[in-house]
Amino acid sequence: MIDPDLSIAELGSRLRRGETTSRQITAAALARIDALDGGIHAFIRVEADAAIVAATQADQEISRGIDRGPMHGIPYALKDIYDAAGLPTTCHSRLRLDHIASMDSAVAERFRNAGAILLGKLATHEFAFGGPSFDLPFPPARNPWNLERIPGGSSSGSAAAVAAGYVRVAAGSCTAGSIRGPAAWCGVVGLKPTYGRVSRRGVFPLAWSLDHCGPLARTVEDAAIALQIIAGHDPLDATSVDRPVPDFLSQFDHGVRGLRIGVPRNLFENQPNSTSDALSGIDNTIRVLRDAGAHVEDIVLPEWKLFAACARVIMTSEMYTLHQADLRTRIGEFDRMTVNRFVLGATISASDYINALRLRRILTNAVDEALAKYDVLLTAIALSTAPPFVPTPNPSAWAIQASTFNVTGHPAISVPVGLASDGMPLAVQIAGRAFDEPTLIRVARAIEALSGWEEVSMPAPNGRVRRDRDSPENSRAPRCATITDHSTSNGEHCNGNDTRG
Amino acid sequence: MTDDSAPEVITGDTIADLARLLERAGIVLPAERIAEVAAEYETFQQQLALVNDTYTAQDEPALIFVAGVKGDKA
Repeated sequence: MIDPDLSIAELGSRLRRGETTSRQITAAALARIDALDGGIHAFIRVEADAAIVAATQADQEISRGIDRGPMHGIPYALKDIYDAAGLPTTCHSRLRLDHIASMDSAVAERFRNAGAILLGKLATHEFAFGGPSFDLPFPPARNPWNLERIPGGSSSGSAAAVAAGYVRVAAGSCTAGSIRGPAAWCGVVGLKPTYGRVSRRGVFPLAWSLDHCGPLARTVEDAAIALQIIAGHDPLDATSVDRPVPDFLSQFDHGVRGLRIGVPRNLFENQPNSTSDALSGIDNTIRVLRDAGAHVEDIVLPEWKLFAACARVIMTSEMYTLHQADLRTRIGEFDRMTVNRFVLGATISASDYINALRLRRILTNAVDEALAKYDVLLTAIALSTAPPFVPTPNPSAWAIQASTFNVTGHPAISVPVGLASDGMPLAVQIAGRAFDEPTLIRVARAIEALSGWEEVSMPAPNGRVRRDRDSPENSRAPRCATITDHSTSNGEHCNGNDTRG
Repeated sequence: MTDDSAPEVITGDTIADLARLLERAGIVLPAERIAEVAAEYETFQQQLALVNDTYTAQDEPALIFVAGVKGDKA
């Protein structure tokens, strides 16, 4: 049995010391998926045989001294909008069930060249946009912390797969928060790199001027390792930026002493759907950062509703452009929720879209000005914990504040900071200067270490639960994250009294 | 994204306006579905107005190519 708590770096060390094999790691991951995913539904397709073949090849290479890097022999998975040669890319939609990718997406190609082991394709919302629907070819992913809660989206399967311990890292995509939102609600790390840092070639678009590819990972270090593999110029993606890729771990353990952190409190305070737990999570994080020597100050950015409106107009325009032919001729094959959101694109004029692009420049300038004074910005990502499944969800009303940095293109990361009073994860968001992911990762790592999150037990579907260490933000929180019966999904899986260790 | 609030009452004018725009785009939806979309449409109209009004109120066409000018006024 391979411990799912072992990091990519730890697994790699054991592989190279001959203490385990990629085949063992991969088989353990597949066994975990087999045992648990009937309740979580993170995967819509598992490539078990191919994974074992690839793992065996990795073992042979490692035994011959061939080292492809830190993810050589390590399993990962792809959101099912990424092409992987020979596999379907369904986008979780009836309209794409018969699509077989002829070649790898750039991200899959880079993971393959790095010797990583693809376990399969992960659930999403239809075309990375619709919502958690039961009227699609595959069931929606559920939140491993509580199967009655949604995992967020649209990288729902990616977040669930990491939180459930199937993989240390999964590829997600983000147009208005689809990496950081589900990461926050599932208690994992979600990293949206700078626009242009990671190629989108071979990834089904949602809104091309907002789409980003990036990792969801168990830890900040895992996320940085994955980003190191997938980042870099791709001449076949017109928006890929040709500039050097830094060592994303170069400042990993440098701490925050002396760093200047701006908090755009006006974005997240006094919002109608914010919760005291979420705001406490932010304030506790600010306190530990100050205690660690950071200079943290409140700042003012343009109102959140401007970022939200700008993102929505751009996104709705671009996704409608992409899908308008199918909306005219195959509308009955889309999910109802997807249609309800896509067709709004038919109501937009050219001047609406152009004004949104012009507003985007205003907003980007404002964030750039703030980041001229501060090394990073700390803000909210989720103003509540993950909500329950409901018959007619409205993802537009979810309390996620992520589109800010899709509009501006700045890199941003969601990092968990504790558990709320309902036992579900809380997170904060850090945004940085364009192409300065190393500073982002440095601050996120400090928060990860200082918040006490590393001592919080991840969801443990096998019943193995660690006892949490007291930390300011979760000292009042229930300590259970146990899924004791994954075959049923009724009832709360976490109550305030469950502190089994 | 977070919307401020969804309007509670959708007027017949809103539904008729949405139906006209969908028809113009060649999208066929039954009337009850158009009414279902109308709630989100009305919220979306508010966001469109915000985008247009914000820019229009600050716009000075002669300065459109001057980077940074608009940011000070956002």
